[in-house]
Amino acid sequence: MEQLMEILKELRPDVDFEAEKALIDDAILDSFDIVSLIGELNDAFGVEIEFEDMEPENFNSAEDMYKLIQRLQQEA
Amino acid sequence: MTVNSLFFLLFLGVLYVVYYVVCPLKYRWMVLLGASVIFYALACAASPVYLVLTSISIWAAGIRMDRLEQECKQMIAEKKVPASALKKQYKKKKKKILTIAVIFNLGILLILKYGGFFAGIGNTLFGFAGLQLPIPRFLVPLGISYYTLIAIGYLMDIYKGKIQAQKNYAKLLLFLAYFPQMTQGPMNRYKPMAAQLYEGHAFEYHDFSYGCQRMLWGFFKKMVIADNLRPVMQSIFDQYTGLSGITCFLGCIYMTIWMYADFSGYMDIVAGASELFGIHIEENFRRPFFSESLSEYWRRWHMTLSSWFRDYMFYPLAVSSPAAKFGKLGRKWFGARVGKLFPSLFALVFVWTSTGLWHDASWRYILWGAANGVFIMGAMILEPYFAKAKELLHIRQESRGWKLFSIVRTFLLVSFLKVFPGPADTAATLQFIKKIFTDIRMPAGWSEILPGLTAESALFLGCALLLMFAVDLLQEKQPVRDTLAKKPLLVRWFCYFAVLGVILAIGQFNVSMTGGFAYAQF
Repeated sequence: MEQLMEILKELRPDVDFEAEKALIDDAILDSFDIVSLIGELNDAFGVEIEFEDMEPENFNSAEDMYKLIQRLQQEA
Repeated sequence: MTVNSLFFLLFLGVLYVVYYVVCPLKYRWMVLLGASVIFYALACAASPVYLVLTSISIWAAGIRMDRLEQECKQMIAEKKVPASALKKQYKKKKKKILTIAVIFNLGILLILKYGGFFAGIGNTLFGFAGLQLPIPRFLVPLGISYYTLIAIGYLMDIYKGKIQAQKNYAKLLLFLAYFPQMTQGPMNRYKPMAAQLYEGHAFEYHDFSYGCQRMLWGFFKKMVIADNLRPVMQSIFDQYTGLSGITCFLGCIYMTIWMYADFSGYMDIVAGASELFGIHIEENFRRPFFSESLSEYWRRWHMTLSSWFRDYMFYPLAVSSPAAKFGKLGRKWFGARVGKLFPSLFALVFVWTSTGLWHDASWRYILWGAANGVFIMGAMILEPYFAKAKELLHIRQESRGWKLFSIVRTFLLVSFLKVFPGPADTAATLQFIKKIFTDIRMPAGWSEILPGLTAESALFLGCALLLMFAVDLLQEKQPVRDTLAKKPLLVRWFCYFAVLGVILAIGQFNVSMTGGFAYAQF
């Protein structure tokens, strides 16, 4: 989780990722942020996030992203 | 039949009685299906066969993907093979069906809408080798660009596991051909629409009242603003050679306002018509002229098209392996900051070329798409430099002055980009751009900047534009219809009759095939 928080803070230092629970629904992260983030997550965690995973429920909060990474790591 | 005709109002009236009075609740979706088929037949007698082909292929592919999903789940439950291996295997099978269905349906669209355009390019490129392809000229079925993308979105959602396939063909046909979305969208998604379309709605006064209000507002935008502004704008684009650069740019501004009044007016009419039956279709506009950047503008303008391209084209391309390789090259050449934008840039090239082509099979629309893409990509790459410049100039991002400046700048940029679709062809577009930048002189007078308008009609049009702006400004803060609903009865009815009176007094009653709607031609 720490590594994920570091990546998120580097991507958008202006966002409080510990508090925000609607990053996509409230349009805090835009589509370009998401694509950049996916590249970072794939490299950092050795997963392959595909377009079918690109749903708001997987990116609305840092916890949602962490759950997605864990699921993909288990499936790999 | 067009939605701005008296015949459409009669059609709605009859449908309303059949839906709420004659038909039992359970079968009301069938009434909507019957109405949609009649609407399509009356609006576009030619070629219903393509809609049938699309709906059957999409229906069959959806069911097949759904069955594969069930099979996969069942086998995982039986634990005969490792779950991850099975999921991969079934994903491949589903992808194959998705690919075939998408190619088939896009193929129909490409041949009918773009066959002539691509044959022309082929002849130009390979004419030296004696290639002379016949230029096919098909009668493009009404709404094909819309229902094809809606259908593909439906299949992609099944593939992603977001929805289950609709087993009943008639119900799926209703989703694809629902009459309010048929002519020019919105591109509704299956998930929010399905329950609303099929459940059957009891009469609600709120739906009736809000539906009528919204339709009235749509007629005002279309018939009072768009249809009165169109000849002014058209005159400038037709006779630009003798006009000043300032007037040419004003023509672009008129076109931006005209398109908004025309397209969002249509959306208000069909959203209101749908609300009469208790069905809320997706919103397509969120006051786009209050956008502070071009990216934001595209999140507020034709929202269902933008979100379609984002979800079903931009995302799949941006996370594909070619995009990842492109991203690595970008990092190597330009460093980490710019490099991580490269997958998005890779996808944007395809998205904006397709967006341009979607609007029209012509080079000027491809150039328009490319120009949009260049401005958006440029803003992404140069963002840190803009931030630095703002810091040096002590500009506060959150200040009202900067926000207002950003809104005006975005509006002017969006208007400037109308130089591509405005003039008659690509050659005229290039001359038009040159004129804007080189023919710097004051316009000859009111007759040049407002051709064909009397002082009286210009005043009426100006007041109507102010009213549209005021309503949008209010809507930005709170829902206008809710605010109006809280006012005394006399105030409410005064507003309704005032708008109706203006429509009857200066509205244009168009009876052309597409009702003169700009986006119906796409």
